[in-house]
Amino acid sequence: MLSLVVLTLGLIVAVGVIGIIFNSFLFQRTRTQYQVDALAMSVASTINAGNRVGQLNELEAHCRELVFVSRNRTENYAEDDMSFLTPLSNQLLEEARAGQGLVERERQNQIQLITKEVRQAASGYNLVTNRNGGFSLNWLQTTEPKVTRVDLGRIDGIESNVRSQPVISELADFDSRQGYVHGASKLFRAHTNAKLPGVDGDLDFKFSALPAFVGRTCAPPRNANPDVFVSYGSVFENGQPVPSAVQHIPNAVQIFSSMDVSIGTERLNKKSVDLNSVGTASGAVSDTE
Amino acid sequence: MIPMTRRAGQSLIEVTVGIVILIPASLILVDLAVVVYGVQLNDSACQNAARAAASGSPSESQFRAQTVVDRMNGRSNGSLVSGFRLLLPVEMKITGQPTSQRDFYTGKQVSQGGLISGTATVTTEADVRPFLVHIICGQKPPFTMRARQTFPISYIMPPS
Repeated sequence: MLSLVVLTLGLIVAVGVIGIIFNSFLFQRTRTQYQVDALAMSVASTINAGNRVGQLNELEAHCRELVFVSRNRTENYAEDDMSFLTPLSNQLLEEARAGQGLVERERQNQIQLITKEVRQAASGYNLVTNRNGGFSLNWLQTTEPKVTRVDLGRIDGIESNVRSQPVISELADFDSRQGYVHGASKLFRAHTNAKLPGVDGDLDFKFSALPAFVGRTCAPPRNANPDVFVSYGSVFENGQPVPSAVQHIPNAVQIFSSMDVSIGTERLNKKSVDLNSVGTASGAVSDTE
Repeated sequence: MIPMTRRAGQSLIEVTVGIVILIPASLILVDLAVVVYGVQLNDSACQNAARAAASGSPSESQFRAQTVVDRMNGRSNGSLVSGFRLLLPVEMKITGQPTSQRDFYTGKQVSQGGLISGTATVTTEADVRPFLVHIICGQKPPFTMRARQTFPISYIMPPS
């Protein structure tokens, strides 16, 4: 009978201790997920700092309209026997086309800048967590989460913040036919190279995803479901910055992190728990309309 | 050979001694679980309050955090974990915000609006009333648990 009592006691204590260990693990996992969510939000909110992505999308649209209008004028002057204006219109057309080069260079510059800022934030976070240590109880030890990988990308279903303007009806019709704009909202589709018709089709006008400014409301930065994240590529892998192949300005960031968990006092049975979180940038803060 | 009545008596003593050990041990385990639950509940409340404080106008951050804490108090009708409190102030560390400019035509100060960046830090406390552990620890209940959480501000100041 004594052995039965001892056995029961042992069983109850064992179940209790296992329960507390499991609960502590879940608790620490929740805490870590919160930290990764906060990091993702913090990094994502720097992407559209000062509405730079929104402004660049607007520049793309304006530059595109300028090239289209300049080309039309040049052709019209030739047809309407106003050839004396042709040299001037050619000059304006060349300036408009050169403007596209400037906008494209700035777009590339912004991609590099955003990539650099995201890498710095990830490296900085890892540096701080190395100093802080982790969570330790007699039966459970966890380390602070370390950023292992960072992807830049966009949120599926979000278009650009720029509307196709009906003022130039010929261009608006062309955009609709080509599927450059969303049917109902008339916003330029994200991740789209809206090439112009005719000889100016050699120029690139790439629109980036960004929630539009609607009814004086701007989308704030927030955490999103990882299922709706579309990756453009990694900029940080295995805890180190890596060369990126990102070709579009991102509007979201996915952060993968891992924390080491060891159970028992020996710290031998170490396992890695992976966590990830998606943060989306704030939307445009103005509307050209 | 032990007679039947003696053997039954021995078993009765063993069971009694066993129960005397078993019941307090089980109660201590349950009580420890209550303390752990209290810590986790307070931490969760603090996380939610920090998120709420960070997601909106910084001037109303305290109100939002207090709402979350009040909701927790409304839910915790038991006496084991109760008395959630928001420790003031809610620390709003603003690192960047849009600046206003003088409008050329009207002469008024206008802001284009934009992202307010920074962090919101919230501290909460909760009372945990264990029914046994405090005797072992030699402390008077309640145990006060404190949690502190920080979250990035996610607010876009509208244009004015």
